[in-house]
Amino acid sequence: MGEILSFWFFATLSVGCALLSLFHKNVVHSAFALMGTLVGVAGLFLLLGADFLAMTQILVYAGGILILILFGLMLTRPEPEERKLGRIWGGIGILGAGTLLFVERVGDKPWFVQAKDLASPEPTVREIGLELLRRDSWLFAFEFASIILLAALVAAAFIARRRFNREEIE
Amino acid sequence: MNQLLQEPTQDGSQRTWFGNVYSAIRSTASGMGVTLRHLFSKPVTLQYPEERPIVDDRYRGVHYLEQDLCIYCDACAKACPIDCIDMEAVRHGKELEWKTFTVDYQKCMHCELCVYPCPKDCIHLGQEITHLAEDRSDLVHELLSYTGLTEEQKVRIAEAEAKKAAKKAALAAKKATEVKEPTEAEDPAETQDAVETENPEEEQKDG
Amino acid sequence: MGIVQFLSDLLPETIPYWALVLLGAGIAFAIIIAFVSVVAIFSVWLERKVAGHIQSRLGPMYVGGWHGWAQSIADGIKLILKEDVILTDADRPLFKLAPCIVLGTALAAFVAVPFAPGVVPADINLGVFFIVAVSSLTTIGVLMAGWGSNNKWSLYGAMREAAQVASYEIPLGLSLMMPVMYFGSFSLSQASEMQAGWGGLHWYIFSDSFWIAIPSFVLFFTAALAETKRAPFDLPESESELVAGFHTEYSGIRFSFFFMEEYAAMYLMSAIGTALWFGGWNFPGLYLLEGTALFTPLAIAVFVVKSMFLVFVMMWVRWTVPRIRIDQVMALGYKYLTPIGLFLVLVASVWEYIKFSMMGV
Repeated sequence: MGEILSFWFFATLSVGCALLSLFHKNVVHSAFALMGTLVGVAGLFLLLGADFLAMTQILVYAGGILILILFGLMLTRPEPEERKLGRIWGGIGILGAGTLLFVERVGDKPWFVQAKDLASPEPTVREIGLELLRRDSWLFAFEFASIILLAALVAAAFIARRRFNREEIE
Repeated sequence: MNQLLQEPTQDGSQRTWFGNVYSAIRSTASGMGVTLRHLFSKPVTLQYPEERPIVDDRYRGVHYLEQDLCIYCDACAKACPIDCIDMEAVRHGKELEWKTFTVDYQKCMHCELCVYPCPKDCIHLGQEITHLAEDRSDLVHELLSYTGLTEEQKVRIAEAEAKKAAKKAALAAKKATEVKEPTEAEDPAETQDAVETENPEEEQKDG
Repeated sequence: MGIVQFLSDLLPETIPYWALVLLGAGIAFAIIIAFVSVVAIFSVWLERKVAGHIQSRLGPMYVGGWHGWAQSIADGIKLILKEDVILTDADRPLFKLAPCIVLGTALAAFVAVPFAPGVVPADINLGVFFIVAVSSLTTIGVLMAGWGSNNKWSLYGAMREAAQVASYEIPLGLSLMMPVMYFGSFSLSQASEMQAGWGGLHWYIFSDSFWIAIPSFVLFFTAALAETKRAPFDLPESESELVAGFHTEYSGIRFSFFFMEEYAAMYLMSAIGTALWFGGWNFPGLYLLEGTALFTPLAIAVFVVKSMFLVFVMMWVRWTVPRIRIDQVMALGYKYLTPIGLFLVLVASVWEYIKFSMMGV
């Protein structure tokens, strides 16, 4: 009973805030509604026993990416172009249908965990750490992804560097 | 390109990376030592209405008057550049019956010019600092400690009156006895009196 | 461990688990709010007294008699009685929601803080990570406040604050890796329990890894000062003294939410520092009372006193060091603290590996 209640709470939070984010007129309000969505998704992760993933979702998405989205929105003034509601409904329809199809196809696979199947979730940090750093596991992918991110960081810093005039150099 | 590698400030305060770390730690630690010392030392605050500051002997505060020395010469009132001092008394012979001696602190600037001309050195500026008042009339301070005549003054006035009356009576009695004397004695006495009264006048004019 | 366990032992079996969880959450919420309010009120008074004595003056002296202890209560009552001013042009939903998000997330992080063995609202396995994640959500509330005020200077203050807080989360997280590596667990209450040896003095900062613990604590403390927008890094706040800050347009209770959030965050960071580096509730000789009824209140008292000492150190630093400019703040965060943090992580992991291979611990 408890799982059902919490699932419906977090699901309503996620979907409700997502709809709010899609349909609200004010862009900044939409961005702030996204925070509700991200926290709701983190809650859903928690219900599936992925505690580390939930905390990472909050820390990275809500505490990092959302802030950057807000920076981008607040420091620029996007053109108030005509919102085409039809497209939004169309998108929701396609994605919803695709999700239902996906769940129906993979519903009986062993890796498809459902919340009610979890007896008592164990902490996952150790497992994730070991998997990411084992030579025969995901080590190569992890390091490769880190290098790609480093390249992205350096490139961003270089693109945003301060440019000097000729007079200042002399 | 070297510009890109320079630190923002160029006044020499930014040195090497390790030097910066060391100087940051050291300056913060020494600063915290100073503040800790201040934290445990006695504060210099004076809790004002309960504690008053201690001032010098020569501090020019609120006036005080030595009433028994004052001879009502009005020198201090005339010396005041703003006319703050106002005094009123009635002379009974040598005695003074004081009515009022006020200093108006709405105007007084504590310049001490009233203290110097006093022939009896009876007005002073003391060490009391405040002029706290809730009404303007409270700022006009009365410096007298008593008004009217004291008992001793009344006694002295009565004695003086008595002496005067006695002198008058003695003089009247003398005149009465002198009237009975022969008239020749009167003429040289009169002319002598006239000469005597004239001479002091001449002497005064010469002097 | 935790309130829900306590309640399930207390109440009859028929009550379903989810009702116990909700009840436990409600009780925890009430206790946390009460505790944080008292701590905030006391901290405001303490700050004014400490600031006064450092500056050779007295601080509050009149309200309530002895050294003005009721001064902050009087200030709180004044703030509650103030008129609630909302600008005409302000973005009303955002303006009203911002203080709630800011205070709510700051209070939510108190769930994982252990006051005594077993006295923790929820013994979260990922305690440290949870606290860092949830307290990073306050930035969104600040941005909401800055944007909702419809004031350019508020927006500037909010932007700078967001940049500063987001930048200093990196050294904060890195510095927290050292005690996590030493204790082998993210959980704060487990870390505090593991510091119970040596008659109550086996704190991390006195342990065999002290030469890692001390720099990591200094790093943590500096990053925590920047995270809570305190002390030398208080540009977001100071702008409210100079030009404007993100909470300029707020008055009355809304402002008191921001104010309380600041002191709550200060206490939270101090509590984490105490639990991980300074032994939590352990004190020399306290272990003798274990099992008696006196142990838990004393342990709570020890924990609170230690955290308040660290809060006092935060105030001490505030009145020592001048304010740092925003570009210097960014330089400090990225060029100095992050490399130091990374280096310490490397050294600490090598040291832990050496200890493991030598002693099998």
